[in-house]
Amino acid sequence: MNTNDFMQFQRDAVVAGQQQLANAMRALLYKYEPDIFEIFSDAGDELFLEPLLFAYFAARDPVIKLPQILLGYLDEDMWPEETEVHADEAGRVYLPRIGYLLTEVRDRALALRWDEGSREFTLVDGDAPVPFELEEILYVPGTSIEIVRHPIPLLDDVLLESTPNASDFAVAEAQVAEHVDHIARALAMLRAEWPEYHADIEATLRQIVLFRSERLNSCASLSIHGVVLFNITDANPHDEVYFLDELAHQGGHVIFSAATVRRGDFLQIDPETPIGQLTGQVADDRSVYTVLHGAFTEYAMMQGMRRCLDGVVLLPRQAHEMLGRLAFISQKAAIDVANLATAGILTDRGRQLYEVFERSFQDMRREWPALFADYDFSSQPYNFSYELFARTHPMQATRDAAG
Amino acid sequence: MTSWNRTNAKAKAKARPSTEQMKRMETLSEDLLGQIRGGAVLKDECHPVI
Repeated sequence: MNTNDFMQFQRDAVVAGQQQLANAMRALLYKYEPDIFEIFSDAGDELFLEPLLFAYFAARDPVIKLPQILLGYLDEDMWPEETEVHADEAGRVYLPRIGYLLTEVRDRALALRWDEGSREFTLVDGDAPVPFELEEILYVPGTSIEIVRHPIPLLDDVLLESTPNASDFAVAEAQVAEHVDHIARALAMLRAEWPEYHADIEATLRQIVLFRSERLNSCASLSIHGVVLFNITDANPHDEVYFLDELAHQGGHVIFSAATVRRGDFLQIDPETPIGQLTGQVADDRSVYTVLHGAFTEYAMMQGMRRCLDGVVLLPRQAHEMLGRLAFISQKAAIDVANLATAGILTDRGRQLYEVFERSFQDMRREWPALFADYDFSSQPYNFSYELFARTHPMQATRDAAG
Repeated sequence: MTSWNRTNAKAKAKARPSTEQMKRMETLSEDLLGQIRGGAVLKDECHPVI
């Protein structure tokens, strides 16, 4: 499979995977909430790919119920007279595709009433009116990708139930506004320099969450499919360079989750098998499926940053950071390319993917050997630190080495 | 949920999925449903440590 064939494979696999995931949501809704399914039985895939729908079925005890999640997918002339909604601890009621109702009522079930005559919503607690203001959804300009403004309890619950690392997770509400343009510029760079990948991001990505945590890394999950979460806690600059890296990376997880919905097509062993059991490096407890995800996202980050370094005019500091990030992920890819070469992991289909990643990696090593020879990342933590990189590889020296 | 009944009626809702939808649902594997419902694998440690 050459690179063009791979991009076509990816496109086709993403489209098919998104359909399969939407059908999975249809099946779950039909099985567990048939009354709600009846209402939406003719709806298109966009509704069934709503991230909170995935979260609803993933959470043990979803605090936000389906009518609240799906109200925004009904045409206005179909809005019901009353919908049960939940005001969170900050008094906010989140309605996908509509916005946030801001109230002074904390952690309480409320009723959202729709008056067909006046075409107005009212919010009531029992029979007592609850004043509210509507705060609209924030989108990345020119896209349908939402940047989450405030915590959404159902997303928080899925994270907390999934990993103890989420115990200090907090949506970075105060930083959202300052990063909208950074995210828009990062997407614009990808669109200009790697349009095929950008198209797959646009086809799969629904929400971006900026958050703070000392323990939880940036991430994505099939349980909240369509959402990427970016950790902006550390001392990195967090401009378009950071967001390009993260969009290629976490957006890559969303894309690859869709493309590999049928994991057995790509792996000939249990996808949850720890890679360390196969390579002898027992400290590496990542599952083989996670490593395959890792290899794809390493490929995506390498391609994305290399293309942008070649094609985009960046400030010297930004180019220095992007070079550091590219070298960092290239060295990590060297390890995973070797990991996945272990016999008996991949099917023929998986092997075809691996060969694309491996060839891309070998091209990088041949065409840009300095990335592997001139940078020492042994003092770097799991996540790239530009502050540390700038100290160990000052800008002028790096420029000289890069030629 | 009762307040959604009016919508229910207005939607001329079907009692069951269409034949085509049923076919599509049948193609779903239990593995996929399991991945979504219980999988919750966060890709927050997907790369090796150098």
